[in-house]
Amino acid sequence: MVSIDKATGNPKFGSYFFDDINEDVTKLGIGDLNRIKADERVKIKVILDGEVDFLKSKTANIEDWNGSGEIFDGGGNQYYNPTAKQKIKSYEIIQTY
Amino acid sequence: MKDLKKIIGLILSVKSIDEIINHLGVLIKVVGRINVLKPLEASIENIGLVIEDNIIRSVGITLSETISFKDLIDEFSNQFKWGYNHYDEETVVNFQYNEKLIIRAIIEGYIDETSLIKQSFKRFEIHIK
Repeated sequence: MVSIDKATGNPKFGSYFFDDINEDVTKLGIGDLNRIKADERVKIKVILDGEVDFLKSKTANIEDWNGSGEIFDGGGNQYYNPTAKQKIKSYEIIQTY
Repeated sequence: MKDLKKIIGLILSVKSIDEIINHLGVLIKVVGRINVLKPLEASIENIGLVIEDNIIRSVGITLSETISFKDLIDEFSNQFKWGYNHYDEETVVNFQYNEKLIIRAIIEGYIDETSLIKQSFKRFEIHIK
């Protein structure tokens, strides 16, 4: 779930990924669907250049970093690798909100 | 700072969306709700408007020059909200400009709140309620 930079229209890839296309995106610690939409997040499918190792874990609940006090639900599955974004060979936006 | 203030002024004005766009740049691409412009001013590196239902919801701005955190708090407020967006790996600082606008300064990576005073920002978002 990648945020599109509002100034450039380019995706901002981070270190968190998931592998199930049907993953509940509201359980990834990024907010509900309204917040996902407000942050201009889209579901992106990426093809990586070669094999990449990830750390698999469950997302935790987290407080909104914009200071609203809202808690974003966790509980979903996530894969973490801070350098994986450098290995993105291609990507495709598969869902907008 | 003058570019940021100019854009805020345009957003708060009664100008139409087309007029606002014409003041800022030329539309070069649309990504979802984001209308990305080629800026008219060289002091603005990138600018995009999030438009939905014919209303500007937010604006994304990258300036060519940075603004110091000290200048931001002098201009907007020393009452700000700091946070770290671990998902997008950015530190964000939110200023409540008025009851309608939030100005968000963004910097890549984790910057501790106590270190903000040493920082300068070139990426901003304006959020309209």
